[in-house]
Amino acid sequence: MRHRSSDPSILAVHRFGLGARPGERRSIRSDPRGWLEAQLRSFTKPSKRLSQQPSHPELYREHLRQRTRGEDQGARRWARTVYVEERIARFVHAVTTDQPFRERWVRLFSNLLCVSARKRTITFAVGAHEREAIRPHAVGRYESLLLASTKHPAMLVYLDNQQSVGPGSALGSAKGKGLNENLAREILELHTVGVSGGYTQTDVTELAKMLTGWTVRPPKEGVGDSETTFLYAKRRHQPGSKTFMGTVYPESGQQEGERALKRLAHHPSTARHIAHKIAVHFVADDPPEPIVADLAQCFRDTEGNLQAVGDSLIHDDRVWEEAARNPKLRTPEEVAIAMMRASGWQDRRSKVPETLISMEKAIQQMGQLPLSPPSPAGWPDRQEDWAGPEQILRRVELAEKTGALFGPQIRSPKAYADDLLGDRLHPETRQAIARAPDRSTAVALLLASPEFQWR
Amino acid sequence: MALISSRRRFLAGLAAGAAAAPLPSFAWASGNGPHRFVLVLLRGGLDALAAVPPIDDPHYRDARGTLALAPKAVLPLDNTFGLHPALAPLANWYAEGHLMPVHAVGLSYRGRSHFNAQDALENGTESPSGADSGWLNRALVSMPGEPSATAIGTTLPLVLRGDATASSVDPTRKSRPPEDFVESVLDLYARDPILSDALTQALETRGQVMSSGSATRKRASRTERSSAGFKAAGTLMADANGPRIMVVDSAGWDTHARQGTEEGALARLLAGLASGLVELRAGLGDVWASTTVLCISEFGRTVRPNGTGGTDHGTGGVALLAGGNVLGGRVVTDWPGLRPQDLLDGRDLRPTLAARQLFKAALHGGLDISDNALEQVVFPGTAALPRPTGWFRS
Repeated sequence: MRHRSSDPSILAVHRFGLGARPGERRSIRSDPRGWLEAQLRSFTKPSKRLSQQPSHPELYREHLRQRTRGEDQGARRWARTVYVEERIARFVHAVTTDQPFRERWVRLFSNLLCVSARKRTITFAVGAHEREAIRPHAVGRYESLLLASTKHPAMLVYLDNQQSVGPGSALGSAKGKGLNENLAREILELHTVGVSGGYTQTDVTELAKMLTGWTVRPPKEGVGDSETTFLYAKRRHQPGSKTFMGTVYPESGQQEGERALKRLAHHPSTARHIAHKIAVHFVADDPPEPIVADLAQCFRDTEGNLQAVGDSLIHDDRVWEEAARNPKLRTPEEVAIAMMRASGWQDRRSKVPETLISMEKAIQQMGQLPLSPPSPAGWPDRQEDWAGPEQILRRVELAEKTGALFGPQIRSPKAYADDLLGDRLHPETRQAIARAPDRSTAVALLLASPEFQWR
Repeated sequence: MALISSRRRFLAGLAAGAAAAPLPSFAWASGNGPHRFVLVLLRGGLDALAAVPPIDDPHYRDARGTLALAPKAVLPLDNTFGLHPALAPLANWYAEGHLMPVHAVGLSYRGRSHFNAQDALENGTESPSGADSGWLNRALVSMPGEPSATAIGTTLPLVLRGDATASSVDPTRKSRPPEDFVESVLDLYARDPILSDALTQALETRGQVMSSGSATRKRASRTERSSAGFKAAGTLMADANGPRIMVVDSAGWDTHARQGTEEGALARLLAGLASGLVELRAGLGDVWASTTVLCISEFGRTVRPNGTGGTDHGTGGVALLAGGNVLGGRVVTDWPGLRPQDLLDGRDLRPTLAARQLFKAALHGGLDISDNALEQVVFPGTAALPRPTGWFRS
């Protein structure tokens, strides 16, 4: 049904990367694997727009200031502005980065350990969570990533842990205070061992008890970026030892939760769970078992070293064969990013152009408002979740608009199509592009084509 | 060649839309038209004891603690149950006999994961991975003719996925890309059945929305969107050529913290649901008489409040069955009770009716699906889960 290509540079830029920028594929053609591998190592600093975003403590201070002013509307408007700026900054980064594989990797883990702006109290903090907890650790050890994400105030509030109180704690006798097991459950089910990873309802409750006291500290005025907003509040912590997944954890305050998380990060079920997520994202909706098993083995052997897991993915020949055989449908966010990358747009002015902002908004209209997944499970990663009729129609609409946007500047649409998609292009698509009545239509057809919609 | 014919249909629809001539639509004599079915998926876990509180259960106040509703605020339904005040618009439906809450209903899947529970709810088996298709799609397969089904929103929920063609539509959109461009894209998609079927479906459905006049303005708030979705579902279905099955998604029911009682976050959600259902019925007009609406969530919530003024993931829940054909005006339940020893795992409302029993009754009464088709096609291997009877006017 779809045209396959045996050229690894195409998979490198489209499947592993975020879609080709003009000339990108040619420049990596001699060594696609080396190009990918290098991205998990040297790190050119994040784009200016990302690094200019305020830290969580700064944002949180402003959030509290807005709230004490008592104007609900104003506070909400402010949070929305921050949220939109975060979205634009990461969109610009994805569109312009020359390390698109690394960015995809970051986003995979950002989605796995997601927080969502659908929860109004953290709308202002979801971007900070990705910047501060995910980006610095996405190619580090999974343990560090998990701890950074769990301790981030955005996560503590998203999954209600900031208000969880041990029934036997100093605060526990207060009226209306008690345990909230939301964070503990999702850590087990979504962030570590997975739903069939071998835990019980009692384990959920025990982990929730260990995490009591993990909450958010109101930042002091005038304290710099380095100040953390994470707070361990002893008077909320459930005292006594806990028995979690068969092991007794003696009372040790904040360390109980940390020990439990570290243990979970190294659990064989976690290795499998993460390996499966990676394979679904890069290889196929239903990835072959041996590939998943090897990724999991690498995760275990290296104690969750995500850079090593990434290397193992790139250097596995079966991954490339399977990836070529099994198409992955681009999600709406990926479609918009790939279209903008294809346009060759560069971030040269201080003000982001209106066209780019409306392109980012189109992601929402296609059903995937960035940093706002519908649930803690994050956005789904399978074709059937993104191939709804209305969705596909909107992709076609967006292709039509985007073609009109930069198509006129493409001198030879035919050469341009070759540059982006090479021998993945089906002769009929080539022909349709060549026969298009104008450049806008030619580029629009390329962007709407199956070869472009599947990565 | 199925592709060609469906494409022709779409092009015909386009032409009709371009000429601003709505498709011929004639009202069915009330109650005599083909049956219609609307599934409202309340994602996140509706707190059943808040929506349909067993206000006169002697253990209700103790069990619910700070979340117990004031008896005066609750709209009485029968000797045990009442309706949350935010659902007030539905009290009239109950009085008319058009609303039937079914209480203490639960999935066979007993984990407390939203995602697994939603998958099990939608695939209609005992496990999250029990089937790749949804039970409403299988119902569609077993219906005579080629009835269509549509979901409100951009994605197609699992419950509608499967062999039969189903569509999705966002009623806040009303434009269409240029016809010749769409035609060229359809040519490109000829080699790609997934993209081509989806695009063809979407163009047909959007054509229907445009000709039925149910499209709303483009910039709409979340509440307006939700209400627009219900309204569009009603208007689309009222058309004689419209879908026979619709699915409306409603998110945000995962009330872990500060859910409130008579007022508050959950009350606002319930009020939104009630006004959506009122819009749906208004859109359906006379067709309400032959329509069945089922609102259900993947699970209920803990009976007792948690430490943060909310409730955690539970098991047994409540479903709302409504429609002109439903023998309502009563709460159907084999009530398990709320004493500590009555609860499942000491924390959840114990389900006494399997969700699939409820689905069977709803499909049999609501869409005329035969018992044979229910057992063979829609819910194979569920002979042990008999269909409750007497829920519908015949």
